[in-house]
Amino acid sequence: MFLELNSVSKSFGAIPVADNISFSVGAGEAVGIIGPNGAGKTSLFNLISGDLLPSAGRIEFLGNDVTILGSRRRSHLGIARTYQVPLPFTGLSVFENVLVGAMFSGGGDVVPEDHCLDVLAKTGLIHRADALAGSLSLLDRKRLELARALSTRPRVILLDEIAGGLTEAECLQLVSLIRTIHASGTTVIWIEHIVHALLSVVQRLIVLDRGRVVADGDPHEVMRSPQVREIYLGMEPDAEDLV
Amino acid sequence: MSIATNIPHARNSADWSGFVGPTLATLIFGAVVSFIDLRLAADMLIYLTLAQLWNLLSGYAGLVSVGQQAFVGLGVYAFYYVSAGLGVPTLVAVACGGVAGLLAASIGSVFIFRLKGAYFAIGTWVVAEICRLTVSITPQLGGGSGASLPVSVVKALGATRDMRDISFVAIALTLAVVTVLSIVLLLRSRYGIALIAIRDSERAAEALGIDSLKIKRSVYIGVAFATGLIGALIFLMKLRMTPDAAFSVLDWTAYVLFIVVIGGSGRLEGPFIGTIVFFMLRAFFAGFGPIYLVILGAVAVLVMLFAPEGIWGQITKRTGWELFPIRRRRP
Repeated sequence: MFLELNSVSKSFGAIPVADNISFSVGAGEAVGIIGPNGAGKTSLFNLISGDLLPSAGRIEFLGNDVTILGSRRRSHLGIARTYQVPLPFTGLSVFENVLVGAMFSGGGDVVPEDHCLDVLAKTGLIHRADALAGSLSLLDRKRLELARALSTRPRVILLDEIAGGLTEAECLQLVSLIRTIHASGTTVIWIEHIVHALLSVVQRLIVLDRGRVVADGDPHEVMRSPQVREIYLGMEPDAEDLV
Repeated sequence: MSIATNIPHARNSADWSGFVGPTLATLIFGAVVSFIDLRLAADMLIYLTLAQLWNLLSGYAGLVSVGQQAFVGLGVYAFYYVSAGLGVPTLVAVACGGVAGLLAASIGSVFIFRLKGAYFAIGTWVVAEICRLTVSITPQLGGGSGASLPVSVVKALGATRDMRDISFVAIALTLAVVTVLSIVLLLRSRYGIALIAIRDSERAAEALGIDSLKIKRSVYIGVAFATGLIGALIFLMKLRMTPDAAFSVLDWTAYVLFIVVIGGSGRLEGPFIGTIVFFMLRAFFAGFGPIYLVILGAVAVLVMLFAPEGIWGQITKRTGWELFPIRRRRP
């Protein structure tokens, strides 16, 4: 299996952020993850990327048991992520930010600088290449998150609310970029509150609530299920429109 | 902030022009002061080197150590032990001072690197104090009352005081040039970018495949080696050392920190400017006793409040100058 979570649990003190989570993702899939605030979505990403280690359960990636590996080792295996609150290297230029991933991801067959230019062109940051990352607008910061994740040439990319805070037009640009990334063969797992953006990309939707998977399947069927409607009722008018 | 666009090309580390600037600056710095006074020149070069090393630690690697006096002190006493005790030739003994710093940092970092941020800073200080106290109760190293260097060890660097002073400047200048060049080489390599990435967000750096612990630890150990060498040189110049002087937090960390903050942290140019300012303040105000330290403190506070990027940071902000570019531009 490409990526498999087996009864993964994690709690901070008495509060469980992941409660016996099991699911698997096939190579090339595009999976959306939704859920109310505090449902454990970002924690789930932290568990998959290795920023957090599970207290119980097992995570496998490409047949390797990665349960106890940190984020660096998992990044070498091909897991990349973006952060909900962007974490740019503010003292480096945009080009250098992307160069970091290209140089340290371990692939020796590509010239890092060339790969960087590809990624910057793809993410629409090429004209800002020599600007300091600390001086970017929100959209460009989000693009940089994406560019940096792509710099490691990942097999799976975890997008954490990458469209949050963007205007409708900016959001559309980002969606088409994510579609391109997915079309080029990269597996995409995407947490997003902007459901219509999410549904225009993913073929599968997982719903989390209080650290549990409460629904998993075809996006439109999942959105129609009574359980999901109950969770989202009054929170996400967007979801109502879509069904 | 369009600083980056004004910087000349620095495409890769094979671009030699990037090394000429810092080397020339160090040589000119040493040469100019040598004309005024050889002792002063050696002193200033020692502080320039310590400041460059501390700037690499805190300004680039994000490792705020207030315990660098540990490595100065260990350099002093390792040098004393192998030269005066074992009769090892003087210059070889200086190298042993560096090795002592390297070994101590290799072992100490295993424990200290478990601490983060302010705790790291306090940890380094505690380790330095432990070193000082350990030396104080070791009779073979002169104990708390200190140790004097035998005449034979000192004479190896020159028969007369003037000749020795020239030797000191030569050694200090060599150490300064090699240190500055090594730092430029490091910062222009892929590890330089990694260091800045770790400083800005260790979490994101790890997620991009950087082994942050290994890189930071290597820098810490390398800096300790150079600091140990400096310690040995300091002893050669002072001829007599006590544990309190050798492990002095004021002399070997606080003043150095002052230089880096004043000149501009996270910039290679900063320590040059900071050292000049520090020695000018010392020349004018050292005679005033404790007031001198109050003035130093006041200057540091004012700079931190009104120009946190330091003097060179202010200059760069206004003019876009970057004397020693280390930035990589889009090819």
